[in-house]
Amino acid sequence: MHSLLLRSTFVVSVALAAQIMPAATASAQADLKARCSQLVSYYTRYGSSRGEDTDGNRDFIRIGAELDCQNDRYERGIDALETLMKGKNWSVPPLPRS
Amino acid sequence: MNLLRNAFLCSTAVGALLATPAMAADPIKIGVGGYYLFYAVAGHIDGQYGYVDGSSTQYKGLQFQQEGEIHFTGQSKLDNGTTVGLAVELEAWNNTVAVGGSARQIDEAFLFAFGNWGRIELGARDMASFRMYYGTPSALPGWGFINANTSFNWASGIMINNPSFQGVQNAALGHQFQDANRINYFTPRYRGLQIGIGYAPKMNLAPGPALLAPGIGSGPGNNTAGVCGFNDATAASNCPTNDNSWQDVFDISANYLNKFGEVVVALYGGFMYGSFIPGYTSGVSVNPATGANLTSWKQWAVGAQFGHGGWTLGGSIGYDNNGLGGNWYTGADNDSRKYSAGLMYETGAWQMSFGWAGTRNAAGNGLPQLTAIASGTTQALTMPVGGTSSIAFSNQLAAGGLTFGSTSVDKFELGVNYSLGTGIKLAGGAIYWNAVGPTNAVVGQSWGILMGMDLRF
Repeated sequence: MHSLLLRSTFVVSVALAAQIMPAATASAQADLKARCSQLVSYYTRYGSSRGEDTDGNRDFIRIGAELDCQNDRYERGIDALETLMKGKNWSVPPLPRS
Repeated sequence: MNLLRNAFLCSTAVGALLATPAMAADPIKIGVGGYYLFYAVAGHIDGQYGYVDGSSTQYKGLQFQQEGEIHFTGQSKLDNGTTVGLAVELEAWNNTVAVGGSARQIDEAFLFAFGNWGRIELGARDMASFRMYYGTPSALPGWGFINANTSFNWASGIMINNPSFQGVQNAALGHQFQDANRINYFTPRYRGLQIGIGYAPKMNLAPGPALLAPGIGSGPGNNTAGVCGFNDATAASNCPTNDNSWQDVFDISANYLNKFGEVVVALYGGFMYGSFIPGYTSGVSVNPATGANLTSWKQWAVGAQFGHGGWTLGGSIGYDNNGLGGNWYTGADNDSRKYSAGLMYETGAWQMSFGWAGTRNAAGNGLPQLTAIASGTTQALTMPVGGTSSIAFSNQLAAGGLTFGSTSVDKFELGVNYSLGTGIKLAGGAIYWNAVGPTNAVVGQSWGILMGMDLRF
């Protein structure tokens, strides 16, 4: 009886974990995507005065980071953008509110 | 045909907006932004001389240059996922008032909407193919090779008159066609590829280099606010057609962005065509004495940029017929052929670049001599053009005889900027211009050292 209860508890736990884990992963991915989008927009906004300048929207480090994010390499894109901003003595914007 | 094209563009945009019921979560609220650029330029600009009376213009070796804009922007995201908004850009300086023209307080003013179906813009806005450009990089804010700020050059009046001058400042398409009322559509980027198309019903502007269009005119009231085709935000209730202007200006372009390993690649190609519609009064769009004539306006450009480890290498070539046909008598063209290339490096707070742009123009309509200059100005240059073919094609230079030969302008630019904080840069560099041509009305050299600041807010 006791072992049956243990087995049932284990099975239910595994089932719950199987449900929760993908949802948690998806949520984390969505957060990273939002963070990347936020940093890309921020750098585009303040990186150059004029759209024609080779900075802001036309900066190749920013373009490469955005391409990384579009290809689901979020951490890499975010890291590149935060490094770019810190290197330029910018204040990196805080995480967006969920 | 035009009606069909317009109907298709409008129905595509409206269809995208109305595909699902739209309820805005929040009303549009306007935010304020913009930019301000200031430079001190020190160096030398060759003087210009009237060869008949010995008059001249000499230039100071120090000049302060500034430009800025205040941007008012607002948008709201609808429940169907489409964002709708508007932008109005106020010039932060007093523009010149062209003869018979208007000051330009408002630069761009347009409505926009975007979603997973792409982006559409309606109003006074740069053409799509201008903004799709990738080519020569520059670390000198407000200068560079794509489209320098309106007054950011370091040259004499006659150097600016050189038919090749504008090409070294404007490697992309459509710099003459900016900010007129138009529609732009950009597709979503798919596998790195994006396409942009644009349409302006009419452009009411002067042809390319004024020196190559002596005695001919275009459109009623060039650069006059309130007239259809004005080259900045304006309102006009109707739009005359047969008035020596360029109409149904279409542009189409594509760019490709991708990353291969650590190498970022950007490729660009664009094309623009505007029909020239003459008026019914003869002798306006052609000059029978010189053979100069207006025609449909054609431009194209291709460019490429490659980035790796902080380095950006890029270049482009382009073509612009300046809205001018080949000369009736000589058959030679008046087309600008534009070339540019540059290398940029950025590390930490620093960006630095070196670039070159060169433009060649055969000046098939011939060029006049600079015979006299009104004292104290750079504007009143006397450059007579013969009123008859027997004078225009003679060696009576002071009376208006034209000289034939190619022109060229080369520009070299060294740029450096250092970021002090978010949207705040120190900027500096050096520039050198060399304008060459067959007469004293288009030649000169200049060099300058720059130091300034660039603020984005």
